Amino acid sequence: MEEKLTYEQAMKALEETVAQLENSNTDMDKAFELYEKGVALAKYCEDYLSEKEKSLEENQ
Amino acid sequence: MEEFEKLVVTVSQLNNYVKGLFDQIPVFKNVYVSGEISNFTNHMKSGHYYFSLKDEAAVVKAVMWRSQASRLKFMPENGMQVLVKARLSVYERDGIYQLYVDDMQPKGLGGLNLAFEQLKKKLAAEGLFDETRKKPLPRYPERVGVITSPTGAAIRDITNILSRRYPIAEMLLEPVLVQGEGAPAQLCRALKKFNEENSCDVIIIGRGGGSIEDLWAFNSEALAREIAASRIPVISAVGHETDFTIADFAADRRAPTPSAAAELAVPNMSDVKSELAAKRKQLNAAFQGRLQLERIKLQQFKSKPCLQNMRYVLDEHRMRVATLGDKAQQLYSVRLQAQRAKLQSAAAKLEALSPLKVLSRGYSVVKKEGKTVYSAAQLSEGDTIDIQFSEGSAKASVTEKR
Repeated sequence: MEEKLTYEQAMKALEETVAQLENSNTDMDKAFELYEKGVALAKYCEDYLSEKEKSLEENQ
Repeated sequence: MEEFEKLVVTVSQLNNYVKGLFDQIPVFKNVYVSGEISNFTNHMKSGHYYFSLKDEAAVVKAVMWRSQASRLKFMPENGMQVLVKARLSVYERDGIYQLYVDDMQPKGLGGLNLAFEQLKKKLAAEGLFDETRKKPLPRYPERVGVITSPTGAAIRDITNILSRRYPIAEMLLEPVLVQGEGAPAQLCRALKKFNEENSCDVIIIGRGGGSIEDLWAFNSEALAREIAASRIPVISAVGHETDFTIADFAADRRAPTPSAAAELAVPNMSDVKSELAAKRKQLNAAFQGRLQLERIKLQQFKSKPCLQNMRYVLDEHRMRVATLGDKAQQLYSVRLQAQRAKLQSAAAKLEALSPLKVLSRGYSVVKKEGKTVYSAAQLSEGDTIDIQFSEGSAKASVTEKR
Protein backbone atom coordinates (compact mmCIF):
# COMPACT_ATOMS: atom_id res chain seq x y z
CA MET A 1 0.00 0.00 0.00
CA GLU A 2 1.18 3.50 -0.71
CA GLU A 3 2.70 5.35 2.17
CA LYS A 4 0.95 8.23 3.86
CA LEU A 5 -2.66 7.71 2.91
CA THR A 6 -4.90 10.10 4.76
CA TYR A 7 -7.65 8.52 6.79
CA GLU A 8 -10.09 9.89 4.26
CA GLN A 9 -8.27 8.28 1.34
CA ALA A 10 -7.90 4.96 3.13
CA MET A 11 -11.56 4.92 4.14
CA LYS A 12 -12.64 5.75 0.62
CA ALA A 13 -10.46 2.97 -0.78
CA LEU A 14 -11.90 0.58 1.79
CA GLU A 15 -15.44 1.48 0.81
CA GLU A 16 -14.65 0.99 -2.86
CA THR A 17 -13.00 -2.34 -2.14
CA VAL A 18 -16.03 -3.59 -0.23
CA ALA A 19 -18.33 -2.43 -3.02
CA GLN A 20 -16.22 -4.26 -5.58
CA LEU A 21 -16.14 -7.35 -3.45
CA GLU A 22 -19.90 -7.26 -3.11
CA ASN A 23 -20.18 -7.37 -6.85
CA SER A 24 -20.31 -11.09 -7.57
CA ASN A 25 -19.06 -10.59 -11.12
CA THR A 26 -15.48 -10.28 -9.99
CA ASP A 27 -13.65 -13.55 -10.35
CA MET A 28 -12.48 -15.45 -7.31
CA ASP A 29 -8.79 -14.62 -7.59
CA LYS A 30 -9.65 -10.96 -7.82
CA ALA A 31 -12.10 -11.32 -4.93
CA PHE A 32 -9.38 -12.72 -2.73
CA GLU A 33 -7.05 -9.96 -3.78
CA LEU A 34 -9.76 -7.42 -2.90
CA TYR A 35 -10.34 -9.03 0.45
CA GLU A 36 -6.66 -8.89 1.33
CA LYS A 37 -6.53 -5.28 0.20
CA GLY A 38 -9.61 -4.49 2.31
CA VAL A 39 -8.11 -6.13 5.38
CA ALA A 40 -4.93 -4.14 4.92
CA LEU A 41 -6.89 -0.90 4.51
CA ALA A 42 -9.03 -1.57 7.58
CA LYS A 43 -5.89 -2.25 9.55
CA TYR A 44 -4.37 0.94 8.23
CA CYS A 45 -7.41 2.92 9.38
CA GLU A 46 -7.37 1.23 12.76
CA ASP A 47 -3.66 1.90 13.18
CA TYR A 48 -4.16 5.48 12.10
CA LEU A 49 -6.75 6.13 14.80
CA SER A 50 -4.78 4.29 17.47
CA GLU A 51 -1.60 6.10 16.60
CA LYS A 52 -3.28 9.49 16.70
CA GLU A 53 -4.95 8.68 20.01
CA LYS A 54 -1.70 7.44 21.43
CA SER A 55 0.18 10.59 20.52
CA LEU A 56 -2.73 12.54 21.97
CA GLU A 57 -2.40 10.75 25.28
CA GLU A 58 1.34 11.30 25.29
CA ASN A 59 0.82 15.00 24.82
CA GLN A 60 -1.52 15.25 27.76
CA MET B 1 -21.32 104.45 -19.64
CA GLU B 2 -18.05 105.90 -18.39
CA GLU B 3 -19.20 106.20 -14.83
CA PHE B 4 -20.18 102.47 -15.02
CA GLU B 5 -16.73 101.35 -16.15
CA LYS B 6 -15.41 101.63 -12.64
CA LEU B 7 -17.99 99.08 -11.56
CA VAL B 8 -17.26 96.53 -14.36
CA VAL B 9 -15.90 93.17 -13.20
CA THR B 10 -14.76 90.06 -15.10
CA VAL B 11 -16.80 86.85 -15.01
CA SER B 12 -14.15 85.24 -12.90
CA GLN B 13 -14.26 88.06 -10.41
CA LEU B 14 -18.04 87.81 -10.30
CA ASN B 15 -18.10 84.10 -9.69
CA ASN B 16 -15.36 84.41 -7.15
CA TYR B 17 -17.33 87.11 -5.37
CA VAL B 18 -20.46 85.00 -5.27
CA LYS B 19 -18.49 82.01 -4.03
CA GLY B 20 -17.11 84.21 -1.25
CA LEU B 21 -20.65 85.16 -0.25
CA PHE B 22 -21.75 81.50 -0.18
CA ASP B 23 -18.77 80.44 1.87
CA GLN B 24 -19.44 83.10 4.48
CA ILE B 25 -22.85 81.73 5.31
CA PRO B 26 -22.38 79.32 8.26
CA VAL B 27 -25.49 77.29 7.47
CA PHE B 28 -24.13 76.40 4.02
CA LYS B 29 -21.17 74.62 5.61
CA ASN B 30 -23.48 71.89 6.83
CA VAL B 31 -26.71 71.34 4.99
CA TYR B 32 -28.84 68.24 4.97
CA VAL B 33 -30.76 67.70 1.79
CA SER B 34 -33.08 64.92 0.81
CA GLY B 35 -33.85 64.05 -2.78
CA GLU B 36 -33.64 61.54 -5.56
CA ILE B 37 -30.39 60.82 -7.34
CA SER B 38 -30.31 61.44 -11.08
CA ASN B 39 -27.63 61.75 -13.77
CA PHE B 40 -25.33 59.73 -11.56
CA THR B 41 -21.80 59.39 -12.94
CA ASN B 42 -19.17 57.34 -11.26
CA HIS B 43 -16.00 58.81 -12.62
CA MET B 44 -14.00 55.60 -12.72
CA LYS B 45 -10.57 57.15 -13.14
CA SER B 46 -10.83 59.70 -10.39
CA GLY B 47 -13.29 57.88 -8.15
CA HIS B 48 -15.43 61.01 -7.78
CA TYR B 49 -19.20 60.82 -8.01
CA TYR B 50 -21.12 63.44 -9.99
CA PHE B 51 -24.90 63.58 -9.81
CA SER B 52 -27.98 65.70 -9.27
CA LEU B 53 -30.51 65.67 -6.49
CA LYS B 54 -34.05 66.36 -7.47
CA ASP B 55 -37.59 66.42 -6.23
CA GLU B 56 -40.84 66.94 -8.16
CA ALA B 57 -40.07 70.55 -8.94
CA ALA B 58 -36.36 71.27 -8.74
CA VAL B 59 -32.83 70.03 -9.28
CA VAL B 60 -29.47 70.79 -7.69
CA LYS B 61 -26.05 69.58 -8.77
CA ALA B 62 -23.90 67.57 -6.41
CA VAL B 63 -20.42 66.15 -6.29
CA MET B 64 -18.84 63.67 -3.92
CA TRP B 65 -15.05 63.47 -3.92
CA ARG B 66 -13.33 60.15 -3.91
CA SER B 67 -12.12 60.34 -0.33
CA GLN B 68 -15.73 60.60 0.88
CA ALA B 69 -17.20 58.38 -1.83
CA SER B 70 -14.91 55.48 -1.00
CA ARG B 71 -16.23 55.43 2.55
CA LEU B 72 -19.77 54.72 1.37
CA LYS B 73 -20.81 51.15 2.02
CA PHE B 74 -23.28 51.16 -0.86
CA MET B 75 -23.23 52.30 -4.44
CA PRO B 76 -25.55 55.24 -5.21
CA GLU B 77 -27.89 54.67 -8.13
CA ASN B 78 -30.25 56.79 -10.17
CA GLY B 79 -33.73 56.91 -8.67
CA MET B 80 -32.44 56.21 -5.17
CA GLN B 81 -33.95 58.39 -2.46
CA VAL B 82 -31.14 59.68 -0.31
CA LEU B 83 -30.30 62.05 2.46
CA VAL B 84 -27.01 63.88 2.05
CA LYS B 85 -24.88 65.91 4.39
CA ALA B 86 -23.06 68.50 2.35
CA ARG B 87 -21.42 71.85 2.04
CA LEU B 88 -23.06 74.28 -0.36
CA SER B 89 -20.67 76.26 -2.51
CA VAL B 90 -20.11 77.68 -5.96
CA TYR B 91 -18.28 76.07 -8.85
CA GLU B 92 -16.64 79.17 -10.21
CA ARG B 93 -15.80 77.86 -13.66
CA ASP B 94 -19.42 77.14 -14.53
CA GLY B 95 -21.05 79.74 -12.36
CA ILE B 96 -23.21 77.25 -10.62
CA TYR B 97 -23.75 76.43 -7.02
CA GLN B 98 -23.67 72.80 -5.98
CA LEU B 99 -23.60 70.41 -3.05
CA TYR B 100 -20.21 69.03 -1.99
CA VAL B 101 -21.37 65.84 -0.37
CA ASP B 102 -19.64 64.54 2.76
CA ASP B 103 -21.89 61.63 3.51
CA MET B 104 -24.94 60.02 2.09
CA GLN B 105 -27.58 57.68 3.44
CA PRO B 106 -30.28 55.89 1.57
CA LYS B 107 -33.81 56.47 2.81
CA GLY B 108 -35.87 53.54 3.95
CA LEU B 109 -33.36 50.76 4.33
CA GLY B 110 -30.38 51.69 6.42
CA GLY B 111 -27.19 52.31 4.51
CA LEU B 112 -25.60 49.10 5.70
CA ASN B 113 -28.63 47.06 4.76
CA LEU B 114 -28.68 48.60 1.34
CA ALA B 115 -24.99 48.00 0.88
CA PHE B 116 -25.51 44.41 1.93
CA GLU B 117 -28.30 43.87 -0.56
CA GLN B 118 -26.35 45.55 -3.32
CA LEU B 119 -23.22 43.51 -2.77
CA LYS B 120 -25.19 40.32 -2.40
CA LYS B 121 -26.96 40.98 -5.68
CA LYS B 122 -23.73 41.83 -7.47
CA LEU B 123 -21.80 38.80 -6.29
CA ALA B 124 -24.75 36.49 -6.88
CA ALA B 125 -24.94 37.80 -10.45
CA GLU B 126 -21.28 36.92 -10.85
CA GLY B 127 -22.05 33.39 -9.76
CA LEU B 128 -19.91 33.63 -6.66
CA PHE B 129 -22.58 31.96 -4.52
CA ASP B 130 -23.49 29.21 -6.99
CA GLU B 131 -24.04 25.81 -5.46
CA THR B 132 -21.87 24.31 -8.19
CA ARG B 133 -18.90 26.23 -6.84
CA LYS B 134 -19.26 24.82 -3.36
CA LYS B 135 -16.65 22.31 -2.33
CA PRO B 136 -17.56 19.29 -0.25
CA LEU B 137 -16.18 19.26 3.28
CA PRO B 138 -13.62 16.56 4.09
CA ARG B 139 -15.05 13.74 6.17
CA TYR B 140 -12.00 13.22 8.34
CA PRO B 141 -9.92 16.40 8.40
CA GLU B 142 -6.49 16.05 9.94
CA ARG B 143 -6.01 19.76 10.45
CA VAL B 144 -8.73 22.34 11.05
CA GLY B 145 -7.81 25.95 10.36
CA VAL B 146 -9.66 28.52 12.43
CA ILE B 147 -9.74 32.20 11.57
CA THR B 148 -11.18 34.26 14.40
CA SER B 149 -10.28 36.44 17.32
CA PRO B 150 -7.95 34.68 19.78
CA THR B 151 -9.87 36.13 22.68
CA GLY B 152 -13.49 35.83 21.60
CA ALA B 153 -16.17 33.38 22.62
CA ALA B 154 -16.02 31.77 19.18
CA ILE B 155 -12.54 30.28 19.62
CA ARG B 156 -13.48 28.90 23.03
CA ASP B 157 -16.55 27.20 21.64
CA ILE B 158 -14.73 25.84 18.62
CA THR B 159 -11.84 24.49 20.68
CA ASN B 160 -14.25 22.77 23.07
CA ILE B 161 -16.24 21.09 20.34
CA LEU B 162 -13.22 20.02 18.31
CA SER B 163 -11.43 18.46 21.24
CA ARG B 164 -14.55 16.74 22.46
CA ARG B 165 -15.74 15.38 19.12
CA TYR B 166 -12.58 14.60 17.20
CA PRO B 167 -9.52 15.17 19.37
CA ILE B 168 -7.17 13.57 16.83
CA ALA B 169 -7.54 16.53 14.50
CA GLU B 170 -5.06 19.32 14.89
CA MET B 171 -6.38 22.85 15.25
CA LEU B 172 -4.51 25.77 13.72
CA LEU B 173 -5.58 29.24 14.79
CA GLU B 174 -4.96 32.32 12.69
CA PRO B 175 -5.69 35.11 15.18
CA VAL B 176 -7.30 38.14 13.54
CA LEU B 177 -9.32 41.23 14.29
CA VAL B 178 -12.95 40.39 13.57
CA GLN B 179 -14.30 43.92 13.60
CA GLY B 180 -13.11 47.40 12.78
CA GLU B 181 -11.17 48.97 9.95
CA GLY B 182 -8.42 46.41 9.54
CA ALA B 183 -10.57 43.34 10.02
CA PRO B 184 -11.45 42.48 6.39
CA ALA B 185 -7.81 42.71 5.30
CA GLN B 186 -6.69 40.49 8.19
CA LEU B 187 -9.40 37.95 7.47
CA CYS B 188 -8.34 37.87 3.82
CA ARG B 189 -4.69 37.50 4.69
CA ALA B 190 -5.38 34.60 7.04
CA LEU B 191 -7.35 32.79 4.33
CA LYS B 192 -4.57 33.37 1.83
CA LYS B 193 -2.02 32.07 4.28
CA PHE B 194 -3.84 28.80 4.91
CA ASN B 195 -4.19 28.30 1.17
CA GLU B 196 -0.62 29.20 0.33
CA GLU B 197 0.78 26.92 3.00
CA ASN B 198 -1.90 24.32 2.38
CA SER B 199 -1.69 23.79 6.09
CA CYS B 200 -5.22 22.57 6.80
CA ASP B 201 -8.02 20.50 5.30
CA VAL B 202 -10.95 22.71 6.25
CA ILE B 203 -11.27 26.29 7.45
CA ILE B 204 -13.68 27.79 9.95
CA ILE B 205 -13.95 31.56 9.65
CA GLY B 206 -16.16 33.50 11.98
CA ARG B 207 -16.88 35.26 15.20
CA GLY B 208 -19.44 35.41 17.97
CA GLY B 209 -22.58 37.51 17.94
CA GLY B 210 -22.70 41.28 17.75
CA SER B 211 -24.49 44.21 16.16
CA ILE B 212 -24.74 44.54 12.40
CA GLU B 213 -21.84 47.00 12.57
CA ASP B 214 -19.77 44.51 14.58
CA LEU B 215 -20.34 41.82 11.97
CA TRP B 216 -19.68 44.20 9.10
CA ALA B 217 -16.20 42.92 8.28
CA PHE B 218 -17.85 39.72 7.13
CA ASN B 219 -19.78 41.65 4.51
CA SER B 220 -16.62 42.77 2.78
CA GLU B 221 -16.49 42.15 -0.94
CA ALA B 222 -12.79 41.30 -0.80
CA LEU B 223 -13.42 38.69 1.88
CA ALA B 224 -16.26 37.15 -0.11
CA ARG B 225 -13.95 36.81 -3.10
CA GLU B 226 -11.16 35.38 -0.98
CA ILE B 227 -13.53 32.79 0.49
CA ALA B 228 -14.82 31.83 -2.93
CA ALA B 229 -11.26 31.52 -4.21
CA SER B 230 -10.10 29.30 -1.35
CA ARG B 231 -9.05 25.81 -2.48
CA ILE B 232 -9.59 24.61 1.07
CA PRO B 233 -13.29 24.27 1.92
CA VAL B 234 -14.53 27.11 4.12
CA ILE B 235 -17.22 27.00 6.79
CA SER B 236 -18.52 30.41 7.83
CA ALA B 237 -19.83 30.99 11.32
CA VAL B 238 -20.71 34.59 11.94
CA GLY B 239 -22.76 35.68 14.92
CA HIS B 240 -25.98 33.92 15.71
CA GLU B 241 -28.45 31.79 13.85
CA THR B 242 -30.34 34.83 12.51
CA ASP B 243 -27.30 36.73 11.27
CA PHE B 244 -26.53 36.36 7.60
CA THR B 245 -23.41 37.88 6.11
CA ILE B 246 -21.95 37.96 2.61
CA ALA B 247 -19.25 35.61 3.86
CA ASP B 248 -21.99 33.08 4.64
CA PHE B 249 -23.15 33.10 1.04
CA ALA B 250 -19.64 32.77 -0.34
CA ALA B 251 -18.61 29.99 2.03
CA ASP B 252 -18.92 26.32 1.10
CA ARG B 253 -21.06 25.79 4.19
CA ARG B 254 -22.72 28.24 6.54
CA ALA B 255 -22.89 27.30 10.17
CA PRO B 256 -25.41 29.17 12.35
CA THR B 257 -22.85 29.53 15.15
CA PRO B 258 -19.13 28.88 15.73
CA SER B 259 -20.01 25.77 17.77
CA ALA B 260 -22.09 24.46 14.92
CA ALA B 261 -19.21 25.15 12.54
CA ALA B 262 -16.92 22.97 14.64
CA GLU B 263 -19.51 20.22 14.55
CA LEU B 264 -19.75 20.48 10.79
CA ALA B 265 -15.98 20.48 10.43
CA VAL B 266 -15.21 17.21 12.17
CA PRO B 267 -16.94 13.86 12.71
CA ASN B 268 -17.55 12.31 16.08
CA MET B 269 -14.67 10.03 17.11
CA SER B 270 -16.98 7.29 18.33
CA ASP B 271 -18.92 7.43 15.07
CA VAL B 272 -15.68 7.13 13.14
CA LYS B 273 -14.74 4.05 15.12
CA SER B 274 -18.07 2.32 14.76
CA GLU B 275 -18.10 3.22 11.09
CA LEU B 276 -14.74 1.55 10.63
CA ALA B 277 -15.88 -1.51 12.56
CA ALA B 278 -18.99 -1.71 10.40
CA LYS B 279 -16.91 -1.47 7.23
CA ARG B 280 -14.72 -4.24 8.47
CA LYS B 281 -17.73 -6.42 9.15
CA GLN B 282 -19.08 -5.63 5.74
CA LEU B 283 -15.77 -6.54 4.16
CA ASN B 284 -15.69 -9.91 5.90
CA ALA B 285 -19.32 -10.58 5.12
CA ALA B 286 -18.78 -9.71 1.49
CA PHE B 287 -15.83 -12.03 1.21
CA GLN B 288 -17.51 -14.82 3.10
CA GLY B 289 -20.54 -14.43 0.88
CA ARG B 290 -18.28 -14.58 -2.12
CA LEU B 291 -16.62 -17.74 -0.83
CA GLN B 292 -19.99 -19.31 -0.12
CA LEU B 293 -21.14 -18.46 -3.58
CA GLU B 294 -18.02 -19.98 -5.07
CA ARG B 295 -18.48 -23.12 -3.03
CA ILE B 296 -22.07 -23.49 -4.19
CA LYS B 297 -21.01 -22.92 -7.76
CA LEU B 298 -18.34 -25.57 -7.43
CA GLN B 299 -20.78 -28.01 -5.87
CA GLN B 300 -23.26 -27.42 -8.63
CA PHE B 301 -20.59 -27.89 -11.19
CA LYS B 302 -19.39 -31.13 -9.68
CA SER B 303 -22.88 -32.59 -9.67
CA LYS B 304 -23.61 -31.61 -13.23
CA PRO B 305 -24.68 -34.72 -15.29
CA CYS B 306 -22.16 -34.02 -17.99
CA LEU B 307 -19.39 -34.09 -15.43
CA GLN B 308 -20.82 -37.24 -13.85
CA ASN B 309 -21.10 -38.95 -17.27
CA MET B 310 -17.63 -37.89 -18.06
CA ARG B 311 -16.41 -40.59 -15.75
CA TYR B 312 -18.30 -43.25 -17.70
CA VAL B 313 -17.16 -41.83 -20.95
CA LEU B 314 -13.63 -42.00 -19.72
CA ASP B 315 -14.04 -45.57 -18.50
CA GLU B 316 -15.49 -46.53 -21.83
CA HIS B 317 -12.62 -45.02 -23.59
CA ARG B 318 -10.22 -46.75 -21.33
CA MET B 319 -11.90 -50.09 -22.09
CA ARG B 320 -11.84 -49.46 -25.77
CA VAL B 321 -8.20 -48.66 -25.61
CA ALA B 322 -7.55 -51.89 -23.74
CA THR B 323 -9.55 -54.01 -26.23
CA LEU B 324 -7.89 -52.41 -29.17
CA GLY B 325 -4.54 -53.14 -27.56
CA ASP B 326 -5.41 -56.78 -27.14
CA LYS B 327 -6.61 -57.05 -30.67
CA ALA B 328 -3.48 -55.48 -32.01
CA GLN B 329 -1.38 -57.92 -30.06
CA GLN B 330 -3.40 -60.83 -31.37
CA LEU B 331 -3.12 -59.71 -34.93
CA TYR B 332 0.54 -59.21 -34.50
CA SER B 333 1.18 -62.69 -33.12
CA VAL B 334 -0.90 -64.31 -35.89
CA ARG B 335 1.22 -62.48 -38.42
CA LEU B 336 4.32 -63.60 -36.62
CA GLN B 337 3.25 -67.24 -36.63
CA ALA B 338 2.52 -67.14 -40.34
CA GLN B 339 5.94 -65.74 -41.00
CA ARG B 340 7.52 -68.40 -38.87
CA ALA B 341 5.67 -71.21 -40.80
CA LYS B 342 6.78 -69.74 -44.10
CA LEU B 343 10.33 -69.67 -42.90
CA GLN B 344 10.15 -73.28 -41.80
CA SER B 345 8.88 -74.54 -45.15
CA ALA B 346 11.56 -72.55 -46.95
CA ALA B 347 14.19 -74.06 -44.70
CA ALA B 348 12.80 -77.57 -45.39
CA LYS B 349 12.95 -76.95 -49.15
CA LEU B 350 16.44 -75.71 -48.87
CA GLU B 351 17.48 -78.76 -46.95
CA ALA B 352 15.93 -81.08 -49.53
CA LEU B 353 18.10 -79.53 -52.18
CA SER B 354 21.31 -79.82 -50.21
CA PRO B 355 24.00 -82.11 -51.94
CA LEU B 356 24.78 -83.68 -48.62
CA LYS B 357 21.18 -84.85 -48.55
CA VAL B 358 21.66 -86.56 -51.97
CA LEU B 359 24.86 -88.22 -50.84
CA SER B 360 23.06 -89.47 -47.76
CA ARG B 361 20.82 -91.47 -50.04
CA GLY B 362 23.92 -93.44 -51.26
CA TYR B 363 25.02 -91.32 -54.22
CA SER B 364 28.69 -90.24 -54.53
CA VAL B 365 30.37 -87.35 -56.26
CA VAL B 366 33.40 -88.08 -58.45
CA LYS B 367 35.98 -85.39 -58.92
CA LYS B 368 39.06 -85.36 -61.14
CA GLU B 369 41.73 -82.89 -60.24
CA GLY B 370 39.13 -81.05 -58.04
CA LYS B 371 36.49 -80.82 -60.76
CA THR B 372 33.22 -82.72 -60.63
CA VAL B 373 32.94 -85.40 -63.24
CA TYR B 374 29.55 -85.44 -65.02
CA SER B 375 30.45 -87.77 -67.96
CA ALA B 376 32.65 -90.79 -68.54
CA ALA B 377 34.07 -88.94 -71.48
CA GLN B 378 35.92 -86.73 -69.07
CA LEU B 379 37.90 -89.76 -67.91
CA SER B 380 40.74 -91.88 -69.37
CA GLU B 381 41.95 -95.20 -68.17
CA GLY B 382 44.55 -94.86 -65.48
CA ASP B 383 43.20 -91.50 -64.23
CA THR B 384 43.17 -90.97 -60.50
CA ILE B 385 39.79 -89.77 -59.19
CA ASP B 386 38.46 -88.64 -55.86
CA ILE B 387 35.16 -90.14 -54.65
CA GLN B 388 33.22 -88.16 -52.18
CA PHE B 389 30.73 -90.14 -50.06
CA SER B 390 28.17 -88.99 -47.62
CA GLU B 391 30.68 -89.83 -45.00
CA GLY B 392 34.36 -89.71 -45.94
CA SER B 393 36.08 -90.04 -49.33
CA ALA B 394 38.43 -92.35 -51.24
CA LYS B 395 40.99 -92.20 -54.03
CA ALA B 396 40.54 -94.63 -56.97
CA SER B 397 41.98 -95.46 -60.39
CA VAL B 398 39.93 -95.78 -63.57
CA THR B 399 40.52 -99.25 -64.86
CA GLU B 400 37.99 -99.38 -67.67
CA LYS B 401 35.85 -96.87 -69.58
CA ARG B 402 32.52 -97.90 -71.13
